[in-house]
Amino acid sequence: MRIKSLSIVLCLLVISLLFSTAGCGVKPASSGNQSLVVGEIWKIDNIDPATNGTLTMEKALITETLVGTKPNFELQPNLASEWQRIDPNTWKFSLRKDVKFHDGTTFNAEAVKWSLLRAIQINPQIVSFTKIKTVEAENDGIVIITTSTPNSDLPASLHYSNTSIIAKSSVDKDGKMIRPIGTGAFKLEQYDPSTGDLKMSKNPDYWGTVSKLDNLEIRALPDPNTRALALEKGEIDFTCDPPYNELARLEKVEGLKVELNKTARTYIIEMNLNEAPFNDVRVRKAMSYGIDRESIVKNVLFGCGEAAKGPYMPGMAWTNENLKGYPYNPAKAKQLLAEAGWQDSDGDGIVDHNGKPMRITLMTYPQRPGLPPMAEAVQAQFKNLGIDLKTEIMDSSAMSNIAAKGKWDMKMSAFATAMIPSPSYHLNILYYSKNNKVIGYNNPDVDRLIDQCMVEEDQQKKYALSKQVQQILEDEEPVLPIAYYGVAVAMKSRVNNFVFNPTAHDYMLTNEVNIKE
Amino acid sequence: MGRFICKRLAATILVIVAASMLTFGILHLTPGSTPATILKYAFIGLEEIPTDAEITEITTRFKLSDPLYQQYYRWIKQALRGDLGDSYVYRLPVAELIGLRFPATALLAVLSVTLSLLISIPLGILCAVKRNTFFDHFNRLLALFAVAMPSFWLAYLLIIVFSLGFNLFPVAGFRSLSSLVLPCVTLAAGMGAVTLRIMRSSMLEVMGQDYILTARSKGLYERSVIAKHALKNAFLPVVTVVGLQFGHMLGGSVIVETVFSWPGIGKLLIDSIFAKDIPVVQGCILLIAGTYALVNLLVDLSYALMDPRIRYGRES
Repeated sequence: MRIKSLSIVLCLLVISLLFSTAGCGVKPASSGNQSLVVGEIWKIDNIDPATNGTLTMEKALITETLVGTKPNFELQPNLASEWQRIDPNTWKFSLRKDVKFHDGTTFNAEAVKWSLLRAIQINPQIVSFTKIKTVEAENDGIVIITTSTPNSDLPASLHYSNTSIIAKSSVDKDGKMIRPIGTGAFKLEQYDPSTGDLKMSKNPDYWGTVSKLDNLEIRALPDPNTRALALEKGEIDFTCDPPYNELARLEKVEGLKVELNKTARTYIIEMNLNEAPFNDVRVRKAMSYGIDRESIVKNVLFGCGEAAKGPYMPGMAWTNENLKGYPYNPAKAKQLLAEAGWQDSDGDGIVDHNGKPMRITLMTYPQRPGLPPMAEAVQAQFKNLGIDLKTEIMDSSAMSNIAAKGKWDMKMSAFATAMIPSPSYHLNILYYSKNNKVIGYNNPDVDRLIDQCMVEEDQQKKYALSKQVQQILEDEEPVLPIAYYGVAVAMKSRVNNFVFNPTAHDYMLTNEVNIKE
Repeated sequence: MGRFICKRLAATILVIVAASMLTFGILHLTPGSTPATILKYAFIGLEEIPTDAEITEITTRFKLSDPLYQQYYRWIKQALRGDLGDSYVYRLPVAELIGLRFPATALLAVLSVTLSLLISIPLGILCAVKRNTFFDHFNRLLALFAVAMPSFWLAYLLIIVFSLGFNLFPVAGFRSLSSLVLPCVTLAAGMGAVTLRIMRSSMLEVMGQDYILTARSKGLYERSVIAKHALKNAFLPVVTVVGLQFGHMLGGSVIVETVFSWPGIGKLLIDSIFAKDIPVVQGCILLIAGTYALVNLLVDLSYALMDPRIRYGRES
């Protein structure tokens, strides 16, 4: 019976809505003096910085974190002016003194303490990243953070957007988020929880350069085609990742510009190293030589990305730029396969070993639009080597589930390489024997070097250790890097001063962006 | 009649309970561990690898380690008290979340069904009356196109022509009356085509009946033969189909909601299924099964009102 009364109420609601919407007209996308309307690429579930910090920090510019990064992923001061490690588990962060929250209250050590402890309560990932045990305010300008285990990546992990600092007035007395009140260049004015659309106005008291934009608006448009059409129509001024095959056309539309950039994410193929044929390094190298990365980037990704040589894209502080990668060489690939005992002995076009043909399955997921067609390209290229590859597209958590059970061959994903801007973070989760039992990579040298890299405090030495690991990975090829992840940014030509920041998760706006008069 | 309604209402409640049980079971059978999936969709990011500590935290937070029947029992006990729980992903009470999304769906459903009826019923009748003329062939061909066209394709086509080309309507969003037009037309096209064809064939069947011949031989005008005698009888199958269509529309339309960024219930349900946001899925299914069953009940009741044979048959 509840349902029935519920639906009656809802029907009344509908009728009232019908009349209420009749009253309002179409508002132009850009109203006010200078405003920018952004077409966001994901649906917006919530605006809690502890779970959706990427939105509130990088896109809506409402919140900020203690630590910032330069475009080459080196750390730099942000809300914290400096930090130092007092002992292995204790850190001292000095805070900027000239910062105010959007509600006028002062940004201080108490606020940092409250905000970080709240974020840890909500999102278990923040504990995994930071290992924070306690946060104490020594005085107004100094925060002492202790960790449960030594974590030299604490400053790097406090750059992660979900650790954004917000004022206590962001939540009601039950601790429920009302709206994020941060320190950023823009203040949240309006949030529509049904559509996820956000409206911000500029923060005139911002501690950095005050934005020239008066308003910033974010509209959730998860469908790539719709985003492209909305940009063309002029409903939005800026967006990212329209369909790759639309890029060339959009570029020619008058009044629009398209930029191709790279971000810290790499398309990779992981293999089940516990099983044949992947336990043979010659087979892995053969497969790597057999993938035409240049052609994949050009024809599948429409130029949005770059052929990968190693785990990290060029330009990051710890990228080993000496890696040669595995340039396309099918002859060498066939030769390596033959050396490993894989030859087509029965003439059916598929290589075999001890009478067993090489038939393998490559799993991937559809949420990143480049993945399924890339898998098909690899399938076609492997066919030239005599490898019978089948592709399977499924939900990403179904894929991890199958892999966790141990009965799998290959899986392709787009793996973030700098969730935490640290030279050891990504290596640790993907290549450390204890952490990634799924792929079964076990190299004591790699484990030891990653351990050293994690505890080392000198940044330059950290980078050197990371580069050493990258070299071993190239020699052993436990994971096939395919391409660095490209981000296509499309905007109106009059959007001014947008500089792509490679540390962005998707795209990052700044207080510098404005509209050309 | 009263007994009939009571019986049907009881059946409706049974349907809802069965649907909620089924969904609950099937959700747990789909691949991917529940806590890991929730973590990926709500906390750590789709491509990240959850740590053991994170899995433990989420399992205890949402009490996911209990046996399934216990979890279901806990849910239904709460639901009967009117509490549908909180969403894992949106972190809002499910009732509030549905309240945010359902109006947009209902609005679209009511308007698109109305639009489809306004076009298809008169055209269907006219096609039957002018059977095998150019008018009939033309409209049937049009209907064939409308029904065969995938809705996402039609949606993009409409955007390109009417938003980009003529600059009449916004591309996407749920912000003004004009943003209703394109999604409405997209949905109405497919439904209207079906209704038109059923209206036409049902009308033709009725017009071949003896009582129509009788009416004509009485010397009635053709107009009143059609309006008074044929129409009423021809409506029965149409009402069934339109009722089903309407019930279906109230469940949301994922494709149209995706293309037009329409904040409806269909996309909410699909997204929540992927994220294993169980309370939301359960809440949506409850609502969808409930409205569907209710609409069907109304359809059955309207039969009795329209067809005396059904009415008298029940009462005797």
